[in-house]
Amino acid sequence: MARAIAEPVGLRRPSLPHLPVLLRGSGIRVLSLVGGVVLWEVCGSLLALPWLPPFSKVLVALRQLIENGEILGNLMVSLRTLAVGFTLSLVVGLGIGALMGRYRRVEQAIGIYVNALLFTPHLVFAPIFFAMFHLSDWTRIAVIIKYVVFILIINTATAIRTIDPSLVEMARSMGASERQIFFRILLPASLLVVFAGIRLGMGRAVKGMINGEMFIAFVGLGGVVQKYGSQFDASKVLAVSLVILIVALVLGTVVNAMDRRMTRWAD
Amino acid sequence: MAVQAYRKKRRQELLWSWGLPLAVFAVGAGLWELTTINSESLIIPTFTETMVGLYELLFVSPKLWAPLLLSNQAMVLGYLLSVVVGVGSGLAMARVRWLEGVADPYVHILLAMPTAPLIPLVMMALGLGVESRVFIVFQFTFIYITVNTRAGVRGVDKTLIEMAKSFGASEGQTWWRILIPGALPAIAAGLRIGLGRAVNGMVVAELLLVAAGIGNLLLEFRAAFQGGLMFATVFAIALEAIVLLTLMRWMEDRIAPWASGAAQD
Repeated sequence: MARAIAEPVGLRRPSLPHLPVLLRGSGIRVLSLVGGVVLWEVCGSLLALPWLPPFSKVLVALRQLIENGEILGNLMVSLRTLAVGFTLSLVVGLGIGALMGRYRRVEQAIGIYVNALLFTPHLVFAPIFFAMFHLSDWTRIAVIIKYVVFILIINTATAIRTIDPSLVEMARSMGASERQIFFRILLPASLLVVFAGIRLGMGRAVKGMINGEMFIAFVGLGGVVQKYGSQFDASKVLAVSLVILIVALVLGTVVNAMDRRMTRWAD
Repeated sequence: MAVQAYRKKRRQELLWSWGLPLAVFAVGAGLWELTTINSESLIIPTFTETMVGLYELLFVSPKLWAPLLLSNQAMVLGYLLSVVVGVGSGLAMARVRWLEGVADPYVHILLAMPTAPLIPLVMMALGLGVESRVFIVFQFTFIYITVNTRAGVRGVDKTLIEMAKSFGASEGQTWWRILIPGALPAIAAGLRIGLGRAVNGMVVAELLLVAAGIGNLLLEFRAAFQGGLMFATVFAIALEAIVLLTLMRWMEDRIAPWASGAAQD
């Protein structure tokens, strides 16, 4: 029958990108990054390709964008949709996932659809969402939800399902109610794996945010990319891309930090 | 007696496991139909309109298949390129220490960074033809194959490698007899995840760069306000992804039935 295809990343400690890893690491990693920037600068200057401006030019473009307010304003717009979309996905994803993991009937009823929707390319539904919500925020929020919620559901379901059943039996034998079992046993025991899913979800949320905005094309950081893209202004495009990368890395770091704090007992 | 009870229970279970999803489908379809049947929207179709459109696209009209083939050309080329580069780089990174150090920050960046913002640059560099779509598919895909391959090789039990060394195995023999078989489950998982990513990349390229095959079809239907056919195209693409990934999963189980299942996606 429908099997969970996206297995949880497991109990591996956060290895997805976050700033400390990039900046720390052994010296060779830092050297490699610095070397990359130098190479970028050299190639950009020498080759004079329209799509590869030197790093310095990109920095200049970045400063221009910050000064004229385009970055900050659109960043706020983007982050707001991200926050709404991600929060909704969390609530729905963890909730439905928990139900799916706990109650076999729920899994039988919706498992196949969750898996199917997880497999499908996410942006292909953007035209459908656009038809439903037109130019309102909800189109982009819906895209983000499509990117995020299904991995959260599957991950949470697997997390709950793989909890040691003897823990639940023990609680039952001590007279715990269904509610107590849920909040005192199932939730904490699954936290480690659930957070792995949240880490994955955050990465997808950022991609959903940007892809949705580029599809709509007039709003958020994605809109800025489209604007300067259509003007063939590679420096500005790269500048915004840098900002997007930093956003992705910062958010990844935040999730990792929360993960470490809430699952400290696992170390 | 016990056997009969067991058989009855099995039948009941089967009824549940088929009946429940069908019931959910019926409820969903019904809700969709009810909410759209009187809608004033010019573009949102009812459930029946979509199903009719889907039937028409899949079995009646030739409209779907040529564009689908065209779009998938880019997908297949990009995927194959990604497999070669991804497996190669993954193997290299796992085995050569300094390469790992040099490449690792870029692996993190490539994993975190959405590809879409770079699409205007791809357009400037490669134009609007199949090359740019292939590149976008490649960019979506290869890093996931790299990461899973690297994890697979790294995950091979070190004592096995030591044992091979102590028996005088050469580097090549260590690779062929120990590392590659040991990494096979992870590599297979990476290939499967990569295929999903490739289909994603194909779609994104069509929607954000240049609508060539099915992306174009989608836009055509939208412009002509043929909601049923437009929605049906979306579902056809979704179906393709589901079929491909299910096949891939089946193959993955054949290749590496001993997979432990901690793939990075």
